[in-house]
Amino acid sequence: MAESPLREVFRKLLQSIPFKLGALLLSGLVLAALLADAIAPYSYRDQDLSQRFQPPSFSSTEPGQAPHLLGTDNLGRDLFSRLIFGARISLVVGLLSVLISLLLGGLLGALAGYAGGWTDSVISRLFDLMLAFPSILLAIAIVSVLGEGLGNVMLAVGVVGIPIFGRQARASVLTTRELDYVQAARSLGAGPVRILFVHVLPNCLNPLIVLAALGVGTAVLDTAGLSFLGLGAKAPFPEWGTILADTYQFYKRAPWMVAFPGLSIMAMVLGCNLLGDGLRDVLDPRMAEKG
Amino acid sequence: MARRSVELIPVVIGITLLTFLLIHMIPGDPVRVMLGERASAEQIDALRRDLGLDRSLPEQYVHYAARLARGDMGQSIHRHTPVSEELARAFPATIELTVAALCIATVLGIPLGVVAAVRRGSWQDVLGTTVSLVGISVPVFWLGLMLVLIFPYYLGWFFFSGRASLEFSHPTGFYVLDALLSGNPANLVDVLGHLVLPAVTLSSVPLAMIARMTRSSMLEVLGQDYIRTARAKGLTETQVLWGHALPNAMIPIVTAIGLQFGYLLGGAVMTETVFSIDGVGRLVVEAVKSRDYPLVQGSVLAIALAVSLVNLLVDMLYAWLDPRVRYG
Repeated sequence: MAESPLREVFRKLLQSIPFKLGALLLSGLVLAALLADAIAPYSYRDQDLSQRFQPPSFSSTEPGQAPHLLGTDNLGRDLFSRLIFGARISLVVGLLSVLISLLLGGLLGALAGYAGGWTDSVISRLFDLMLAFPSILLAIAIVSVLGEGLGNVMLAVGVVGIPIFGRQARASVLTTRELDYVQAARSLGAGPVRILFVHVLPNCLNPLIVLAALGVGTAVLDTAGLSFLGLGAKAPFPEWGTILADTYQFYKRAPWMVAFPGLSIMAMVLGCNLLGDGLRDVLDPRMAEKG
Repeated sequence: MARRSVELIPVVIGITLLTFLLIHMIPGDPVRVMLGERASAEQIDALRRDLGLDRSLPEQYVHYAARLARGDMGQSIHRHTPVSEELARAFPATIELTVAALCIATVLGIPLGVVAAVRRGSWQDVLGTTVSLVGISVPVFWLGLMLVLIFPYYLGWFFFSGRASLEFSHPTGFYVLDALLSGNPANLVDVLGHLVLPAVTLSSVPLAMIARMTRSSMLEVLGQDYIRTARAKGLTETQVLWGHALPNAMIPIVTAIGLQFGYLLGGAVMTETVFSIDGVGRLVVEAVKSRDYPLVQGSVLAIALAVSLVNLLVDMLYAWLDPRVRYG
């Protein structure tokens, strides 16, 4: 009996080592983020000045208290707990900014590819223009207009991703709209909106899904970077980049305070990149060949 | 080639238009935002007139573009100096850093990719792929902090921050060049000792990208008939690789290298902050934090123009490497 396409995709994904590694890494982080209240031994904001600069340890420093697995910071806050709550923030921010890029970029790109003519010219030039700026710089410029804060950083990172998703959507729509089955739908009298959303877009999703997986990693990285520069989340909010910005001046006294937040960011970005690579090998083999 | 240069014109106009609009997209009164709550009505009016904000939008843009054409990018609000002067002071540091990072990325990335392609599936390939993957996943600012922790702090190698410890004159602003001109080898050692960690930090992503591109491009070329012919006529493997395969695999690699420049100028923002280097990246961040919009506008404009110019140069190089592009 022939295998259904969806099952085939799943079977291939489960054979892909990068996909499995990425999925494992990310599911650990997602689980930690979801169960943060249950897992974290301490609150992310409670200070205990008697416990400042405790190094990572498996045994507790005070009887009856949980050990500080990853040590404590300059205000005696438990780093492990802060990082677990931070995973929640990074995941939400990463997903939401990619959603902004995907929805706006996807729609604009699809419109450009499907409508053609001057609509295409205007939208494509806009994408070119946005891509002329280094992404982090464009994000900084947008934050300078909107004002500092995590929400605005998320929006800025999302806007910066629009042309990347837009170009891909446009390219996919351009090839798909000429296929026979779309011509058939047109000759049966389907309107442009129906053709675009029912017939064309669903068949353009694969490369966009791959881009989205990779995009979450980039968004997490950029958000942490902007927060590190002091433009994003503010203390005591346990955003990973903010934790690094607040603690890196103490790196001589407490190197763990610098090491672990960075490793957390890297784990999440690595997970997204591995997952994206695995998805690309299976969903978009032509893109995979190009490396 | 001339056509490609002409295509740059709308991009440049678009970039100036976007940076021009930057100041107008600020919610509320930009002049009040810039000067803060305590500014007097006279100060506010003076700055508004100075920035030309009392005129209509098209008039303002024409005025802005005309000023830019004369090289006038306005005055920094807090530093009270011309923006162009601030940029001229900061740009050499950034260029030096990005060029050094690009050199490291190219010198290490190409061999890494070649070895990974030649020994496909071996431990070298796995190592190369892992290095690339980690390279694009590591936060640049964190890598910088860790390098500072390991090298200057634990090992006592290189320097924590800045561009030089020794005093010598800086006629060009490019410290490596200035150290060479000073004729004192100690100055050069000092400058390079300051440059190496930031450059390595900034090179992580481009190194990964170049290695990946080299690997896939080499794999494609190594499967071609002329490589089999070269082997069949008795050339050594080294001759085949470096004489026949790599030159033909170069075009996508050069493109990958050129495309990294935009990333490098963006990444310089983080690297310069970690290593306290007074380059354009740090200038932008400080300008944003102090709401010095003419300075933000000027630096963003300068960086975007630099990236567009480099992209044009890469296209020209591309045509030089591959005559098919020139005559096609």
